[in-house]
Amino acid sequence: MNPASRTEAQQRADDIRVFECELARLGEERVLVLDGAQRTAVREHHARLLAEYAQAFDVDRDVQAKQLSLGMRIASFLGALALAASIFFLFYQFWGLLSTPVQVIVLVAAAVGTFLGTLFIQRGDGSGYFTKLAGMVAFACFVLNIAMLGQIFNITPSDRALIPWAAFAFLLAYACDLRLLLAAGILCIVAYIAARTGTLAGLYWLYFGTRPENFFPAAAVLLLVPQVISHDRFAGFAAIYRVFGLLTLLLPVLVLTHWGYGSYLDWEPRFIEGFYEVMGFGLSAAAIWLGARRGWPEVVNTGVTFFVVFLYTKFFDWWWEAMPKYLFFLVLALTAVLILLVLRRLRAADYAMLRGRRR
Amino acid sequence: MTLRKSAWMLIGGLGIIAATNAIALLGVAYNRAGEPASRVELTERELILPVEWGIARESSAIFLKLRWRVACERIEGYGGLGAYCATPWLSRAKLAELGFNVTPAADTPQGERHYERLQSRELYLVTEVNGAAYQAALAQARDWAEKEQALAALNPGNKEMAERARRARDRVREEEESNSRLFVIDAGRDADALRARYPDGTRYAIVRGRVQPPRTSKGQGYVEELSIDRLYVPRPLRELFVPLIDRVGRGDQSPRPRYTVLVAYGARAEPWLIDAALGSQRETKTPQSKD
Repeated sequence: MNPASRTEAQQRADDIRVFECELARLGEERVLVLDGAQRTAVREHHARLLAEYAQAFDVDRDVQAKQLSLGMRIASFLGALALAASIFFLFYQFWGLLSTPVQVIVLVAAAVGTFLGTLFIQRGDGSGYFTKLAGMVAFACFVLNIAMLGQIFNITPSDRALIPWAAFAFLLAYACDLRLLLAAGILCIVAYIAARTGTLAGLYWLYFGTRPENFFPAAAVLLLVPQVISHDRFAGFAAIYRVFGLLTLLLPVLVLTHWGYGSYLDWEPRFIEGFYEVMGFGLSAAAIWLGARRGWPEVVNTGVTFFVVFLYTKFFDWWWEAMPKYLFFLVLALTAVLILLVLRRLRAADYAMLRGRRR
Repeated sequence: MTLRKSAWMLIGGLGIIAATNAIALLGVAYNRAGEPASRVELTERELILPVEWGIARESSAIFLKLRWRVACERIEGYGGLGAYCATPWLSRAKLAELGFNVTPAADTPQGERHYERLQSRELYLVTEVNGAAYQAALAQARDWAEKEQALAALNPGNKEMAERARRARDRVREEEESNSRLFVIDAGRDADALRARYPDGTRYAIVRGRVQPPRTSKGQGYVEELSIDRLYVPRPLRELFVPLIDRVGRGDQSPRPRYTVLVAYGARAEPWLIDAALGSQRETKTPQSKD
């Protein structure tokens, strides 16, 4: 099977490395010893695969290379931010000296040029680091393009600008396998859906954050996308949708547990806060359960994080003033132990279920 | 990436960039097509050169900021100068007409919560320059000054009364010479209806802005902000303002207003500068913006 992306190729290269280690151990323990021909065939096959992947995707062949890759990922992210900022300030410094037609041409040319540059770089960039850098800059140039047109022509600010920004980010993300741009596109779409929800409720669009419930429809959309549209060819994309979906759902719930006035519900604010406390515990517990059932570690981790945050903020509300501090922190520690025990049982149940399925 | 995928990406990306720019520029063309809905002449009193700070100082672009007011019942202190004082014409009936739900009784906890949660909305506002609202503010300041003067005359030697009379006289001078004459005088949900009610495009402009209803049952609504209150100065008019920028915020004492600007408002209630000149009267010799 030919991998479709660098992530899949890297996964296969990692599997080969693990396989070689385990095969060596099995040989030492006299459990499985391949004969000379088999060993040679496997080694040559793996060597050929790794050479192909290295050429096509610049995969990391060993642990040291992988550590260096992490550094390169960070460097490419920071480089992309710095380059985008540099382009912004370059334009900012000189745009007032340009006539309006030249300003428009420069803005459009920057967006088109960086986009074409991204396509060109991607053709020869197996590692994807330079593509990520170029893609981020192209996205920043397009955002700058539309934002500056708004300033030059005194256009009324509108949430509709978020739609082409999201579309452009998604296009770059899916075409170049860039998770960073997927996150940028998701943020644009979250802001747009929340702004539209707020507008339907009578709010000025930019004030969508003043009613945290505006984010719930966006959360539902994000959680549904990987269920409805298969992301098998895009490693890690479905996980990003799920994590952002949970953040878009649980962060507003967390805010509403402390700010009942921010709700659309026509109830007593204290009652609203209590309602969302129950919702927060319920939803994060449901996320842990669902993540464990479906084998979505990112959902389990996000659910656990929010469950602990909901729990600790409640403990703080109830006991910070009333308890001696040593007792307060002891309760926190005991709670952490309790959560560990629950998760261990959940994991054991998961293994039992898996074994049952195999039988 | 396959050739087919590359081609789709190329078409998709260029399509998004082209379509978005086209929609934005067609919107601008529509706004500016034909005769503007309003052409109002403003001076430095209404359209100031803001003091830029932070990263805005790096920008070579020049913006002018609209300095608008609303009529206020109170005039003492800073009353009547700001934008945030309670606006008499934003009565409960007017707020209801604008789509705000101000009918619930406020003497219950539920009613109080309702008013606390009311949020501002973007609507069409009517701005008036050098019109009845300004004349009323001027008359109000003069009345106040006369009353304070009379009180000071009745209490000779009273320093506080003398100081109040001096402040009131200063206020009259400011109203006559430097305070903004741009007033937000009405609001509505339909721009055409407002244009029909205020047909004089040299005095009135229909703009977009936000109205905040009262937060309490007893309070009044107020105009929160204009959606566009910074106007970009295109290059043909830029040179006029460059010498003035350096003096912004440095205690420049030259006579005000130093410039006059002609601002047009188009079909989408979006403004643009079409002409500018030094001094308090605009002359036709200054080249008009072709941008």
